[in-house]
Amino acid sequence: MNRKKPKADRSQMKQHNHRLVLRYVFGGGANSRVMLADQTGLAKPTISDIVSSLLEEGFVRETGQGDSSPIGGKRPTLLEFVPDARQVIGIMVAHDRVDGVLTYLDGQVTARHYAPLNEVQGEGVITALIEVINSLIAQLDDTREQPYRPDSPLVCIGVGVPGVVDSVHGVVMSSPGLNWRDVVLSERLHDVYEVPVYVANNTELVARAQVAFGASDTETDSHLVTVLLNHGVEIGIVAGRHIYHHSSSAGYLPIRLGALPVALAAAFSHEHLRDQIQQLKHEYAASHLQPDYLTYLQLRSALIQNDALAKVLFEDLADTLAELFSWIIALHRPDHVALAGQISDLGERLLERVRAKLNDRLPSDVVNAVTLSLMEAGQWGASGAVAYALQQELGIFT
Amino acid sequence: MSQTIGVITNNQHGVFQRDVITGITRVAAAQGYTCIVDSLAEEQPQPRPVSLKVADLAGLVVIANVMPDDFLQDVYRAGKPLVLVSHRVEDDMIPAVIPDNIEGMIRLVDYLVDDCQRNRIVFIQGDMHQNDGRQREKVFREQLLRHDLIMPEAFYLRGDFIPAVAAESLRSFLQAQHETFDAVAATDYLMAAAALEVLRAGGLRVPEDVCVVGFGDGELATQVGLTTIGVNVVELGQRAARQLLGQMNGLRMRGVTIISTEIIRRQTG
Repeated sequence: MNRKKPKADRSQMKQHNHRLVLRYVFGGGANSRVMLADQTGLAKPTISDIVSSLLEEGFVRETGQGDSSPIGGKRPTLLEFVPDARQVIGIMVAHDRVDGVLTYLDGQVTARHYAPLNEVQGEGVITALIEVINSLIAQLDDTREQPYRPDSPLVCIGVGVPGVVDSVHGVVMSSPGLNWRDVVLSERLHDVYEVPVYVANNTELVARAQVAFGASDTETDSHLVTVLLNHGVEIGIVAGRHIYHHSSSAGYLPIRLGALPVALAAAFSHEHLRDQIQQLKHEYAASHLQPDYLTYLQLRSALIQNDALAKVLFEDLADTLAELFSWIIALHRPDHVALAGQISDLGERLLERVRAKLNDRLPSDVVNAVTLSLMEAGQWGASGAVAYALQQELGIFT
Repeated sequence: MSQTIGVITNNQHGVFQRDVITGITRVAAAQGYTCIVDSLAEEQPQPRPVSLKVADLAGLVVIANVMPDDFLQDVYRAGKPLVLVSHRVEDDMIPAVIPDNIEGMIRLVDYLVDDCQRNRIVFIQGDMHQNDGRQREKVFREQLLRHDLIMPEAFYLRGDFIPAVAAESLRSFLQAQHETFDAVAATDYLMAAAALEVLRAGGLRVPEDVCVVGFGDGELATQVGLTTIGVNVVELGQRAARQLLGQMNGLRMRGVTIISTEIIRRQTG
């Protein structure tokens, strides 16, 4: 399809400039009208108009007089971003639960809420999502004192979901675990809450949160890949602080385990662990591992106690992970690969084994150039949704 | 339209319950509502029946596991605005507000292991019929595993959230001459304070020989210099009242609001 890019109209240009100025004040890059003009390249009257508008909306406040420039002249009026001017809701929908946070504009969390999905799918997940958002709306901070009181303290909502998402139109194209297909989520939630709603893939948001809230060192990690193992295998990419918007699901890719090819996601599933225990139990009679529900922490516990079967399962997991990582590293050459999901419960020994296996597959200088880390996805997904929504709505957290 | 919010608790003069009620009352009053407290077990060995007429109330807050889940489910299904504090029912459909036991216990274990360099930790359990008691022990065990630590089962002592029970369990443990230990983690601060007395009476130095850390904070914790996981209990009540007011304003809700914790470093660890 050959789409002609439309020219920016006057209102779009105005919005762009408005966001640019707010971004500079938010990031501390400029704290006066003069500095804003210097840094943004916008004309002083334009800056003056935008700052007046931001003051009126409550996003910026004046904090006193700064020093004159070395050549003298009028002392500038200092400006400061107002983090609690509004609040934002960030949501992460996983296969088994919905997590949400209510934050100020700087990402400071004021309330956290979650609800298990209790195995509901389809429309039931949307009902649960709305009821979690309602719970956070009830916690909106409407008692703070400020000169400007907006009609609603809620500025926007960000939502992360597993699967394939058209972020531009806010449509979840496919999320098999939720039994969603072509769900026009942004529009549906906008109809309920009458604020802008932004939707993206969970893993993309976890990666975004790492950049926005400092889990990753953006000076050294300009190319970050986040691998989320949570009922699937999803990959989010940050390159040069920019989020790649087509986070992918690699869970369906076939890999060879023993004689048979299996889907990558299945290799990390509890069902696979259970099957392995059942197959190998007779060879490892002394093992205390049970084939019913086995968590990664239980596997770790068995490893601590030198359970031989646990060691076999652990090495299989680590080797499969190394295979996935080797392709990612060879293709993307990232500075940092972060592994998220419950598998992180296996701890640093998992990364040690993965790194050793990577050295068998890739040149050592390539492997040595990559930082490997573990992270808990739950705490970052909803925060990433906040960062994404604010970036889309106000132009901050780029 | 009723302007009254009901609060059901086991003992309105308990430190925890009193602070929760303060938070509820503060938010409710700002919206023009009054609170009536039904305190079921004060000065009585057994809880008496609820005296509040639930149908006449604008909404109801229930603190801890003072009411059976069947009662809570009936109130919820009848469409009466309802919020639980420090208690959850199965499936989490009834809105609840709880301290972040997971974050709190993770902080507690990380503090003892990383900051205090302790790895032989005796754990004093709470009331295992309560969500807080069960969850705190589960997270304690899990977080130890994340440090590659497993404690002997003999290190898990009964406490029931009752200081006298905790003290007796610890006394028995000391007399039994189990393996050496270098820390005590209690699931509430009142039991931690009781443990402190038992340890000192047994000739152990705190924190040189044994670190003691509790969960929750109050006057007694300050008095005895207890290092503990702090939860803003008044905020717990405020958040619960906001959940209730939201329901009273027509918002459908489900799930659990969690209140953050922090480590308060004092002299015992």
